[in-house]
Amino acid sequence: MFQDDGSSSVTSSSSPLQFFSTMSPSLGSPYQWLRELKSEERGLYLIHLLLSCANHVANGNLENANLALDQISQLASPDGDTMQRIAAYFTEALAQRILKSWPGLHKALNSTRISSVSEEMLVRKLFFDMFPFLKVAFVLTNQAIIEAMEGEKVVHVIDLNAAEPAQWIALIQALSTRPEGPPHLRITGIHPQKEVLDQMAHRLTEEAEKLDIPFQFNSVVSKLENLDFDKLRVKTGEALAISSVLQLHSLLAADDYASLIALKNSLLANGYGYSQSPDSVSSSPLSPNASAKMDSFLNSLWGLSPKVMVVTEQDSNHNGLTLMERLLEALYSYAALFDCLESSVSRTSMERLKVEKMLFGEEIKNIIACEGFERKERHEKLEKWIQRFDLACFGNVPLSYCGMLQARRLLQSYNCDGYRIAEDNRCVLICWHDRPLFSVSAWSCRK
Amino acid sequence: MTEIVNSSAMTVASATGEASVSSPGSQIQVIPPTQKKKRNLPGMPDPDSEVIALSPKTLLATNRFVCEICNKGFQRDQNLQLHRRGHNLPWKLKQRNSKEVRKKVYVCPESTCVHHNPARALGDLTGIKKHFSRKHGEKKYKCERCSKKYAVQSDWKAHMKTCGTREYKCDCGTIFSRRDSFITHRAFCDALAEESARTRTPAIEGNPNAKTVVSSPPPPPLTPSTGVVSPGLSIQSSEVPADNPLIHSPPRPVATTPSASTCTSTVFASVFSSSAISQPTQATGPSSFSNQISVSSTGIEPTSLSLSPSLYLSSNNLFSKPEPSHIHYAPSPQPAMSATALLQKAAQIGASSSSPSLLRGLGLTMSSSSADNQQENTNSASAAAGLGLGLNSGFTDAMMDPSSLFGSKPTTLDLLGLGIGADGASTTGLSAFLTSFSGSFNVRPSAASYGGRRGSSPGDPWEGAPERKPNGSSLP
Repeated sequence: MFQDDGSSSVTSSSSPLQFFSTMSPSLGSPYQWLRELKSEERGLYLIHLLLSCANHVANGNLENANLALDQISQLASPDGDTMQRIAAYFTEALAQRILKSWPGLHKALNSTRISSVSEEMLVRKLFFDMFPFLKVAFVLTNQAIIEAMEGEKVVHVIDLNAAEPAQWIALIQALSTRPEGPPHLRITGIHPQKEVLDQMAHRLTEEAEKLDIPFQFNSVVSKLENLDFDKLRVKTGEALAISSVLQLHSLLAADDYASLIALKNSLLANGYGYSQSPDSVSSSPLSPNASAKMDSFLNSLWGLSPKVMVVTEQDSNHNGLTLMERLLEALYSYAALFDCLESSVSRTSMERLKVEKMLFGEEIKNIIACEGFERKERHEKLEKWIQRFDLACFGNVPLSYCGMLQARRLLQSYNCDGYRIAEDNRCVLICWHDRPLFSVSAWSCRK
Repeated sequence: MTEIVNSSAMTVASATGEASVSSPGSQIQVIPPTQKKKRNLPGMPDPDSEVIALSPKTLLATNRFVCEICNKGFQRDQNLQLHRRGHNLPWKLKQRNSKEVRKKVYVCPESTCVHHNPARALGDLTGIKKHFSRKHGEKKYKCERCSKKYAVQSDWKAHMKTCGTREYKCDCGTIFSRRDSFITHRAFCDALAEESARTRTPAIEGNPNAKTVVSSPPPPPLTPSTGVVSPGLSIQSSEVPADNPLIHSPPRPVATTPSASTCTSTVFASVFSSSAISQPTQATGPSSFSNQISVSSTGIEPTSLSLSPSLYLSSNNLFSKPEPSHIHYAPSPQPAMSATALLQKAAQIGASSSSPSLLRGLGLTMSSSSADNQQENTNSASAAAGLGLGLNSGFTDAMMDPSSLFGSKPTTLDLLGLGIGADGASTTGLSAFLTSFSGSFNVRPSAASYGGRRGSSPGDPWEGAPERKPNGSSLP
């Protein structure tokens, strides 16, 4: 539309494009009219701009991409309405992606970033508070653990990301009111940051002492991908439960450079019509590397023979091979998440801004701008996870009616009525209106 | 002496209806409880024993044993003997006359009493004395805590030891000192309270006075039959403090399942969903929680109620909703469309805007512009074209028949109908949206003539949801 030759185009009758047609870019500021767009039209235009920009970026068409980014920047804003915010973070991600073509520039611009542990903890806490997803996941996880551990005297729980004490405090309280008395509880928490684990240990031991439950917390300071399973100190024959909340997908990140090359070759050979689904090809023979780490991790988990393993994951396909795939999927998922915030938190809230920027923004950046080993946010759909666990000899444990009841009640207690719970394949999907966002499933060792 | 020794062999526990065991009292020998002595059934005496009928005065007399030397009275014979030693009696007089040992049984002087009949005489003097006091005497001793009255001082002292020390408190407010009666009651109380709670709208009030008044009657030593009675009482009491049903009505359907874990999970759920429950219930919510605490850790008095609110509230903080500043957000004045809705609209537009007439004018330019990019276009071709559409020469033909190519389903989807197909279909819609635009934006001024065709474009895509809902092949 805004070609350098100043020509404008008309495509259709209705309002937004009428704007496009009536304005000539040569008059003064070419983007004046953009600001006069109404919210809906602006939103639609933003979507279009985002897509076209992404298209350009995917093609390596940096000039056009730059133009598109410029236009978007006139409309997008992190304090505007939902679409404006989404556009802001997506364009930032796209810009980062472009910048990666100049590694020197990219590193220079990102080198002075300060990562504050307390800020990260705050943002995690905000995510926990503002959305019901984690709470529902915790309720379902704990209920599954309680049911699996009925009658056990010694219970060992491994948390693959021990960041939120609330989950285990609730478990401790629930176990203390067990009719057969509380078991001896051991919780092993894994986290890359020692401070988080220390705080968690403190909170949990305090709680257990209050309720007079024999309790022990072991800290394992480690990244999940480098986890040394011996450090977990699992005793043979003990009743073990594993809880993984939004952790496993990062293990899908592998240096899939080789696989990407292979895929590109195959694409060029066959044209564009490759017969695979746009999902991650981690289970395909083309990229065995991508799943190797995940497979070995799952095998190690299986080797611990847990009584129950409850996995919570994002339920969106953000692991597509190409940028456009991922961008389109991500647009939908994060649109739903941003809508959640819009309907429950005010636009001026600083907390909302923090969550959007530091949590969602970072995830979006990772999905869009990073490739290969750097791209950790490899969310996948529940079906793929089910396949994966099946292959790793885990059997599905249906989540109990009692747990579902509690989860539904919890959702009802939220003022926001867009949240839904759906059951799919004996697993639970937490949705925003019709869009599933998170999945919770329980597994046990199948011999 | 001997008579007393032998009477202890026939120690009778007590009359019917009194569960507490009275101590055999005056014995020379201490009979260890493990030693098995031949005991007659209480109230069924040995036929050759001598029946002694004492008057009420004698029975109630406290100092039955009198020293002959100084006329001092003693309650027990042993005490009298000890006292007599102090008189330095000559040896002859020291010994009591040893009569032939003969069992003595005693009858109650009260003619209406069952034990008045010699066939039902009691074998122990102290026993008969106590029996007489309890049944036919005046109750002079009173417990301060629960105002129970006793005629026999030892009964009263025994009660004082246990009154209020070990308490089990049911949710309906009834207090028990015995675990078994408590459990029995609770089994009934649960079922009954649940039914009454279900039929009633939960009113929030607390009336502890009514609770204690109604529930104090069932005393600990009652047989289990009274455990059945007490639920009836507790129902009455539970009608008043209706805050309990409020707590129980949500967890009740869960608590009826036999699994033990569900009980804890009701507490669990209440902990998590505490943010929704209104203020009064927060104070009484922990009743089930503390109830279970008091069961498992005996000896916790109602002070546990004060403990658990703090627990409850602290966990309330864990799971409470965000601060009111978040909740009290009013939607912005302009009805902003949600981002999801915008995306769906864009997808629909994209799907339907690929109308033949729209793009025919752009067809040439489309292919020409795309031809430039064809080299580097493999990625975007695969994705942006909706994974099946190419921006290659086949493009316009493909676009001519969107219904067969775009797999976009209707936007209203049932929850379980979600999946890759739906989202992918929407993404095809979006990407078509993109391509329709991108084509338009590359158009040269020659397309200005297209403006005249505005009215004729079918299914005007900008006016709300298009009626066309193409079902198509799924994504390749």
